[in-house]
Amino acid sequence: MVLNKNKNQLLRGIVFKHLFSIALIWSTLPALISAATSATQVLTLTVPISASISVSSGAVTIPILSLSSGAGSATDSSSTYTATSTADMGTLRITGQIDTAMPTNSTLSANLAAKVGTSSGTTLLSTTAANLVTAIDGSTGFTDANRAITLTFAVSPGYASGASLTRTVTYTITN
Amino acid sequence: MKWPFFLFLSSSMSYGALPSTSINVSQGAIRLAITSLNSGSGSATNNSSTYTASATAGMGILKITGQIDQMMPAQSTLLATLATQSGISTGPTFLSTTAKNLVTTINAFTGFTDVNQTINLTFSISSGYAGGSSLTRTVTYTITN
Repeated sequence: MVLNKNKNQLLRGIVFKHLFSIALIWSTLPALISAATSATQVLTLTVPISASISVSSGAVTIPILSLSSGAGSATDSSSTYTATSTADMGTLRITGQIDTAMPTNSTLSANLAAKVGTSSGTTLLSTTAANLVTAIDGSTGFTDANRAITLTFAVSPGYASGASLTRTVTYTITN
Repeated sequence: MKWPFFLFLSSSMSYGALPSTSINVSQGAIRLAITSLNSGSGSATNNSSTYTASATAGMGILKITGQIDQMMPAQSTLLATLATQSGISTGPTFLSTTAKNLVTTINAFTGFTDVNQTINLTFSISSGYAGGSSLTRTVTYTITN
């Protein structure tokens, strides 16, 4: 009888011990659960395709200081341009033109440095657009920053159009 | 002898259903269109979508994270800001391919529901961007411990 009683007490102890464990685990279960629920959104992001060009200086003075037998020239390379495009612009070029034709026996030429495209070198400017930089790869977008613009004003014997001229040069980046 | 059983049953009744969380968004597809650039830079914002998050009691402290499926191209970013009433918004946060906290410290010990909270998304590019004229990114919002 005494032995059976001790056995029963031992069993009760074991049962109680496990019940407490189960209760403890159950009560703390929420904290043990790693809950992760997700939601998704598909974003379509679009960018306007465009190209732009800007110059560092809007006004340049190119003075011919002396003539030799009626001929002379002056060069200015103080200004730069920055050209850029977004992607998908294909092959681009930069052209230049002036608003009014140069007087007889005078010329204005431009030479644009380029890293991305191919410079046309020194090119006479007129009232029709002339290529200054070609073969610019705009398929993946580009930026060519602070590239030198070299402008040369030259007169030759017979020039008779006054001591001062004003011309507006328009640089255009286009396909 | 009955006492532990009572304790056990009482506990099981308190948590008759397993704790759970949920989050959903009002719009599964969003368009962010940059319409103009200034010196190669521009941005577009969309705040037309909302999210609703909830949790049953006993979930402890929760947070909402966000991540995108692919990296953004160079010179572009995607920012997300989630409004919240139950937690703390981390404010405008750059999304990447690793989960970033967007809302933290959501007290879900007694359960919570945050309904129709604004999702603000901003897509920006800067000079030199060469990532194409159209991108698709999937944002995954996750509510987790």
